Amino acid sequence: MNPVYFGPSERQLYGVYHPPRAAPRDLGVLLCYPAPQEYMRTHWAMRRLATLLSQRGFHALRFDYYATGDSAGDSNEAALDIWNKDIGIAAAELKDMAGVNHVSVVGLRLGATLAAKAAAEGLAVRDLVRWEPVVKGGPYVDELAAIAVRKFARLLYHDGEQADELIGFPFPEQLARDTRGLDLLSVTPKAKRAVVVSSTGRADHQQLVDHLTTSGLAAKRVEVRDEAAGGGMQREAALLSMAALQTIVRSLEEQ
Amino acid sequence: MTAVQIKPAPAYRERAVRFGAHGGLVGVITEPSPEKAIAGAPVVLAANVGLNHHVGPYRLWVDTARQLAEAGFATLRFDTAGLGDSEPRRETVSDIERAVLDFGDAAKLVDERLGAKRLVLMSLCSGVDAAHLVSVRDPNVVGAVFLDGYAYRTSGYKRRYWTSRWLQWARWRRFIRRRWIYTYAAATKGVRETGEVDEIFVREYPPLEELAKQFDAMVERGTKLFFAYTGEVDHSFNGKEQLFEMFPRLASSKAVTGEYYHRADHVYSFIRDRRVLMDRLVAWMRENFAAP
Repeated sequence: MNPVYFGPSERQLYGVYHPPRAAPRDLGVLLCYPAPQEYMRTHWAMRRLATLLSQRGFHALRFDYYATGDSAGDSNEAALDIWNKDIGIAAAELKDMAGVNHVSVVGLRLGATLAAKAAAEGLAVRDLVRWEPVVKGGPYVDELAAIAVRKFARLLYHDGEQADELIGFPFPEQLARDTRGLDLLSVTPKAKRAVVVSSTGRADHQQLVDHLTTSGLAAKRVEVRDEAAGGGMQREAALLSMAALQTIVRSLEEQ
Repeated sequence: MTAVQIKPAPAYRERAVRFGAHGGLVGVITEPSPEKAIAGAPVVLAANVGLNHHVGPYRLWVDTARQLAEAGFATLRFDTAGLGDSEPRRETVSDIERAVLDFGDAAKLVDERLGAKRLVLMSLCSGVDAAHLVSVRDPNVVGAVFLDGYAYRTSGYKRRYWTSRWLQWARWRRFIRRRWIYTYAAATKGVRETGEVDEIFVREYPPLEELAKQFDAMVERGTKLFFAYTGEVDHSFNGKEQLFEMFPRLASSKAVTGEYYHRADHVYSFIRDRRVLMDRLVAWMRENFAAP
């Protein structure tokens, strides 16, 4: 794997490129992390996914959005608009460094939502794989807030987070408003195929597939029936799912 | 969505590096701009906090590195072998010895790339184990920061525990809050945090007197030591004075700094707590290492 900084000088993005370890395909796979609140606990899963993809001949690039991870920017500069643009920048970088003509995108949680928006706004994508996507922003923010309540309940001196922070990260008003306003059922991405990988019992994910099919996109949902595919990504168990990773790789291998 | 202005590029430079004898270690060097760089200053090394990768919890190491760069200090934050972005080593040695090898590779890198031999090691929680061992062995370590590092219950700890524990309103408030949240807060149903279940690892502490001798030796050779403890480790540390109860010979040394952030949690989850810690670390670096 090769760690790199790329992008415009005033907003350098950190990424790790995983070159193919098998017969190379003419396809790069861009991995889109979730939001900062879920970043640390999903990092290992994304690394494993990138490794699996490289073993199957894909070029894989995972990267940190602006103001997250190792990328430039203060955490309080986080903004969905910027992250959306970052996906386009990273896709172009992947094509350039790997010398491939096609890019597929795998997004996890909020990363899936952002990837869909990028594909709807002109990013040329072969496969759009959404892993436990955030379909509606409101319930998602409420879930994170509930996790924060639970997480910090054990602390002795705890007066609650400030209004503009969420699970340890700045969550300024604009970001909160934009996140709550997300609605994938009103987004129609352009891609050759769309796959939703999710746990059982997610009616909203089935709704999402129905929406895409109605819009004329070849879309399907793959349920991963194991203990590790739960929607609550704050739980470590959800990130140790080999079944989910293999499902994603298989879906990308299908012609 | 509304477009957000991006600030101009900062006065430091960051580069991703891949290094180590097996070429599998990954990290980021943050360098101050030439006009801010302090000539001859030691370079800061920061590695993983538990299983967190090298950005640190809530980007703690990223923000610290950038603040230190603004103050003139360079930093290498990196993943030890097999964690974060780094690949495993092939050597069959213990975890702690593997981490020591990684720190050795990191030291070699900053010597080659930045021309610096002197090092300051920053570590938190289980990351302290390797940082401590390297600090003991390597005379090039001129400063060491131990956040929620080794702590031993002293007689003072027990006295504070039994005299103040039941009188602290915060404890009763937490008890009530937890009972209420776990029992009645419908919104949090189905959300369970790892802090609510048993610990998944156990750390082995060296004997107290052995540790005390090692700190004595470090101070003797001129190494500056910074200890900070948080309120969340009150199972083993419950007052600022406990540092010198554990290591009384360090009490008279000007090379030793001790802080107790009783309101902070173990990984500095709250922005205000991180800000206090980072400001203090930068000030400590300036006080001790700004002069050539």
